[in-house]
Amino acid sequence: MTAQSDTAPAGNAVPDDNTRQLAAAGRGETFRHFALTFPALLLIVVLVFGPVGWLFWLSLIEDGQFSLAHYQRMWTAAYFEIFSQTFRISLLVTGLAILVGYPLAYLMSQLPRRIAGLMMICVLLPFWTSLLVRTYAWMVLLQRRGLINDALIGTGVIERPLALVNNLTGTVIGMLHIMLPFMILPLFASLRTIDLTYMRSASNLGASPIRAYWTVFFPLSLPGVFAGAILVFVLCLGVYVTPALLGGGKVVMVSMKIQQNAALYFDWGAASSLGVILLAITVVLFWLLSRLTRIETMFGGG
Amino acid sequence: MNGSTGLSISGLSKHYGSFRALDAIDLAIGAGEFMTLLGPSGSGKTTLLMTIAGFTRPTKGHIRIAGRDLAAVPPHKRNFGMVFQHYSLFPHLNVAENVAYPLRMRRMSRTDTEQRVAHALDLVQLRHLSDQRVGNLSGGQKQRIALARAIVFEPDVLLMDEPLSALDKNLREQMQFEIRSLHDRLGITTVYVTHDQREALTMSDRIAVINHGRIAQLGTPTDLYNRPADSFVAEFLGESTLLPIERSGVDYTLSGQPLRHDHSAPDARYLMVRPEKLEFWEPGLEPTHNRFNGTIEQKVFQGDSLQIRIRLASGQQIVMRRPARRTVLDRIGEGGAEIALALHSDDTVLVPDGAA
Repeated sequence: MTAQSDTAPAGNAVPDDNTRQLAAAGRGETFRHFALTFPALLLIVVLVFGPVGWLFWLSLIEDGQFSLAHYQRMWTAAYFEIFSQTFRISLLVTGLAILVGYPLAYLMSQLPRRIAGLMMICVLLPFWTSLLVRTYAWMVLLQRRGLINDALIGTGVIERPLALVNNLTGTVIGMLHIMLPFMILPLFASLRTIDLTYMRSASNLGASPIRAYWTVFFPLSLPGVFAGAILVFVLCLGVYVTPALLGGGKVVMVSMKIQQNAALYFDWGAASSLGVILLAITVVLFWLLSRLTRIETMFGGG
Repeated sequence: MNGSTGLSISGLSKHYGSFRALDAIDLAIGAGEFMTLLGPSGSGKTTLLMTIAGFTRPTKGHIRIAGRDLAAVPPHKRNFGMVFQHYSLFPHLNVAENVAYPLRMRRMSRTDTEQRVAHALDLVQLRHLSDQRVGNLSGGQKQRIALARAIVFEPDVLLMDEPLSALDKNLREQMQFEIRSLHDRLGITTVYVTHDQREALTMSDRIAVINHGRIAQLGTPTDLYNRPADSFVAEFLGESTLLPIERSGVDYTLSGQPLRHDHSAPDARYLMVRPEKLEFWEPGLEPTHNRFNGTIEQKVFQGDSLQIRIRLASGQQIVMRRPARRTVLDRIGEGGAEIALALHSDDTVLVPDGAA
């Protein structure tokens, strides 16, 4: 420009003020970041919110008209029993999965990496087999003249075959087998990260190995247990094949009722309302659980 | 927390196959003494500490305290307090619960526990943090809590494994002072591991320099600094220039120049020169000092001091350090200027070759 701007005092830096450009650049960056997340957002909307919304919509329609009939129908002892049984079985399987999975995950977390890797393959192997195949395999194993009953009678442990299948026992055994990897994987990942210096520290401070385990390692492993338990519990709520095949009609879970409504009676509204209620109860349960335990703040910052 | 006991280590070895992590270590630590194990990484200092703590089982040898051999005693029955490198505070417990942990393991009554925890937290001046989660603390605070936890049960010995290595420089220096003053108040026998020679010099009653699983030298900081046993200790502890010397008859010479010296080891191979011991040559220093002539190669301003690199007439380089004072600055010429240096015969230290 002219000599005038060259001789302007240093403090009066108006021609050099780039605040607006920098602010614009900042807004541009925010927009580009949002644009980058857009495909993922779209995917979630299409695949999660869309179907759930549709589910809600269907559950409120009866004979082409808006109605609460589907929900009113559920206000009966029979439906209450189905939901109650679903949650009881899920809870039982989750509890058993912790009891069986924890020792295994603990062992794996303490073993050298290579051996732990081999064990992990053993845990995952059934995972790669078809769910249906595994369920039928359990039927073969558990039936009246199946391998387990034959072996127990053969060795004289029992005289008459045990009722292991076509009932709750069979359902729980089958579900436990299917759910175990979902417990072991997150639990193992979490146990692996527990710094063993904590155990040395406890030992140095006077804790015997058993007390060091219960006072230090076990509390630190609880977030992993919660993670595995939540995963297993949620998956249990929706399991269909296993209780249908191993329950012998005596075990009715919500998923089976949904199947019945949809496939047998072609009543999509009734099926949807069951799904909505299941979803609602689950969300409320987890909200309560997270309020009660505050897992993150309790164990955060290992 | 008085009545501390000494610790006696004899013939302690740890072999991993043919590798000797510890090679027949003998070390007597006096009651209430602050002993530092100093060495480069892989020297065996940490192995020695872990063996004392009971986490590493020795191949052979004894660790005795008050006549009792602890070599085969599991760590939780040793009654040694330990501060770990990364604090190792239990993240699921708050500050007070962490400090109370060793007392809980000793099934101490509730009132005694509360009293002791409060006292220990007072000692490290962090009582106001009692209810804090460990995750919310700063590095220095964690270090103090770890210290409180290690002393609250009045252990026979306090072990510290590079406790300050994760802190920044200023905090580290402050903590060195705090740990030392806490040690002096409690009179607790302390074994401190570090690879920081300055930290060792600052804090210790005695230092054991460890190298290749053996004690290279054991002594007070002054001993080690002024009279290193060999070239390894001389180089590891403090700044030094090592110049090869020759033996002629009963005397030693540096490039033909006879050296006036007060102390000598039998197989001396090097002249060790500490940068701060070198002075400017003055007439009249002949009876007590050695004289070295050279030219200034480089001057480096380091704030408090001036580092001067000098090429001796014999071709070897030597480093001198002088306070950055006007009088000093005035005396030192530019690069290439000639300079005459003086080294007192008492500071003319001749050392044998040490395995590096």
